[in-house]
Amino acid sequence: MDKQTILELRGVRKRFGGTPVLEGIDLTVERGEFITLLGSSGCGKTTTLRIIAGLEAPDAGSVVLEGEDITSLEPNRRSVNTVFQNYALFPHMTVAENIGYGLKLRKVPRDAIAAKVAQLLQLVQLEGFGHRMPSQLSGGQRQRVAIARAVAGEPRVLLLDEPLGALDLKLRRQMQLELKRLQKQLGTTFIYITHDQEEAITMSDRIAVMNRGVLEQVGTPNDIYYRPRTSFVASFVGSANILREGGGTYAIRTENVLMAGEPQCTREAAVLEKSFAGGQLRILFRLADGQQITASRYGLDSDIREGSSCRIGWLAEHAVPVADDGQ
Amino acid sequence: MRTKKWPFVYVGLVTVLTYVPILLTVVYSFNESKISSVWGGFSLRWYGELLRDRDLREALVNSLILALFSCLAAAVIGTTGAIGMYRKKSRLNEAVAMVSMLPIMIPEIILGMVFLSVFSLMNLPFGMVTLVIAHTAFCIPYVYSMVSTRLVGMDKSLEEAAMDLGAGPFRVFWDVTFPAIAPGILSGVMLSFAMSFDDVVISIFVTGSRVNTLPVKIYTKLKTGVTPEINALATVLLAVTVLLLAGAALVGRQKRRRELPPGEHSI
Amino acid sequence: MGKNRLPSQKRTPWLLLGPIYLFTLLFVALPILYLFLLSFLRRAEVWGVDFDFTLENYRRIFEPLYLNTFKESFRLALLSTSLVALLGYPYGYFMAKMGPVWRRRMLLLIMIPFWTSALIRLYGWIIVFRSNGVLDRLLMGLHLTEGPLKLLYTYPAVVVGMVYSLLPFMILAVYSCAEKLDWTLAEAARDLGASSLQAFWTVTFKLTLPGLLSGVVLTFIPSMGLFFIADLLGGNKIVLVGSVIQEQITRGRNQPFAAALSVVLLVLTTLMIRLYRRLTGTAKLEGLV
Repeated sequence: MDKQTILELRGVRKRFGGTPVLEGIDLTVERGEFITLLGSSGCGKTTTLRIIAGLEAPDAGSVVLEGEDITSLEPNRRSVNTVFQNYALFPHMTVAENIGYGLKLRKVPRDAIAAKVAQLLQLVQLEGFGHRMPSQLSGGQRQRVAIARAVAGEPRVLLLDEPLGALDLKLRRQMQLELKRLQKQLGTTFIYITHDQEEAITMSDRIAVMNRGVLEQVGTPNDIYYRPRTSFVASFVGSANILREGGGTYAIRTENVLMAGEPQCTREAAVLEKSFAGGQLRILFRLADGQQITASRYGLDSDIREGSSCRIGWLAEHAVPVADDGQ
Repeated sequence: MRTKKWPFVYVGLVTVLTYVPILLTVVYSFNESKISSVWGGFSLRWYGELLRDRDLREALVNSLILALFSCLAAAVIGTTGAIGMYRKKSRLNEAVAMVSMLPIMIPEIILGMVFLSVFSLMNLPFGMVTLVIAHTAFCIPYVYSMVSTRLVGMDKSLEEAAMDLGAGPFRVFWDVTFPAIAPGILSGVMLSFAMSFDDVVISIFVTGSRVNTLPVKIYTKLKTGVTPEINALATVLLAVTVLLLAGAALVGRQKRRRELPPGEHSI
Repeated sequence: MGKNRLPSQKRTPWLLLGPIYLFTLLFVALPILYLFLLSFLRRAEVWGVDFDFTLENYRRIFEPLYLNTFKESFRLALLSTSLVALLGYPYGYFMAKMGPVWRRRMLLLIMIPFWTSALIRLYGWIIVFRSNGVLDRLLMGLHLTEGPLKLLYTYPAVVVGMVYSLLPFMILAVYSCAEKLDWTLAEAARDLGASSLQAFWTVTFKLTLPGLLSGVVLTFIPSMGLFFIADLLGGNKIVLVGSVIQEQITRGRNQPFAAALSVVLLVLTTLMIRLYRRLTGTAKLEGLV
């Protein structure tokens, strides 16, 4: 076995009441990496995580942690911990009791627990909050407690199930950076779940894109973004245009679509719509064969008018051939 | 939003009316005269009579023992049942849960009738045992549904989090599930106690000739002839109820205060 | 099913389910089945029952005496329930509209009489209604009546007793339903052009209907059986189904006939609950516990 590999999923399958949720997941996670399972809701990413944590048993396949098959091991016997989506802080325990819970179960001496809790509180910047009840904390603070609680037992792998989903955008950005810093500091392997492709690209060493119970592509953010393998990955990550032409399917990123006045503009297109979102101007074109192409540029407006027509195009190397999975 | 006055007036008026008969019994408990329509001056005479009435005292003790045992049994059966059925959902479980709710769905008199006929069929001697069985039957639904409600409302990931952090099934129950359902058990038991302590109809059917519960005793006393002693008894029971409820409310208030973020205190 | 199931997902918790299964079977299911059986049996000459099948008990219910009792009980239950609904609905509704602090206070105020003995509360009314009692003195003092009204042991006294005993059930049922109501819905209706009465009728009332209906079930069913209220406030004059059942057992020693009466009452009860489920589409009675 590869020395760098810490966790392996081999052919994991799962159905819920006849509906297939996971259709053979193979994934290798390396020691100390930050890997993200990215996909829309219902794609099976949470089920995958729950199978790793031991909260769900797979119908077929196995989970291997550090060379040991842990597929049928109870969750309390796995050195894997989870940060739950809704934090799942015990409402009747103080922050300190929450964080020290796992250690108490392991019969760690009381003063050692206290020392560890203090250290963790400092790590997540919540010094002095130990005696508070979870209900007295803000969303961001609860989040930090949940993380501190999960890392207290120094698990081999930390699982994070959309931990930032409930936070507002600003806090989310800040927590993204903090989580990344924490992961570097602890050196723990993080398996992170999100449906937000921007978040995945910002934080991950590698991204595994999931769709309908299948891993579509696993790679670095760079790979996923610039060299998508399937049309799903291309359109899900960074919303590329999918162009079907001459028997092939190509992904073209919106920022790579060239417009009137720029070179290589060889195709006639009608301007359907202009919109402004997220600091970008987006223009929707219709090609002569009816396919629609979106172009994006930084800025507020351009000279191109809705209802007019103009020439657009792209460099040959920007049209990436992808496998067509109909999306 | 505009606040109108008359809803408050209505609610206030009905509430006051509700309390008129209760307050009358309290006032008349201090009446020296034996005839309740005549005010014979302030006196504690009837409280003295109450203390000396051995029958009533015995009935009170019986009622307390009965309520205690049936609450205890209902707490155990109702709680374990609610947890078991929450863990494993099946058609059979649903059916059993529904049947177990019947004692509070059907009119009390029928339940009394049912128990009377079955106990006489089984040749069980009527007395404390039959009383406890009958009372347990109508106490279980209160505990069961209170605990079920807490379980359904409980965040399932709490149990998973405990498991994830290394707790075995027993620890998960003790550290997470039990604290979550404890308020449900408590309110179920309190309701059961009140219902058992207050029950006349079912008790009349299943009590023996030698064991009287307090409500049964009061009922016979009211039927045969009124003594102002009952006023005194009513006042004592009322005072105890008010004290207990006020205590519970105070505890609840303090708990709310503790769990609220600083600066968001009410009352 | 998969081969790898975690141990915690395998077990059926018989240790937990055992007690409730056993108790429910022994002391609820079988006894109720026995009640049905009993209603087809014959009363023994001396004591107990003979195990031979007869429809005599059911035939007897149709004798004018007992049929009348059912009618009387039904009428009283209907009257009490209507009055309880009329008084209790606005109460529960207004309570739900109060602030959280007042809500808690009002809930406490309602619970106190609810938790004191039902008998003792009725006793208060005996003091009020008794000849030359509090009410008579008040009315005579105001020169509204000449002599004592002799209200105790009359129909109105029984109705007051019933309404008084059952009102808390209605209030709590309506309140627990109205409390969950999204009040912005009524505001939305106003915003869309409904008058405040229309908004109440088309939105608020419709949405609190389950509470009201649940309250109706919770008051109607017991009011057919609360024989002690009729007994204490109505003397021997008002005879309810409950009173007949009790009498047949204690004095008549005719268990099978009492069982037949109970079965009829039980069937009526079941029909009411089914009707409630039909109307509201929910299984749980609002505010029952």
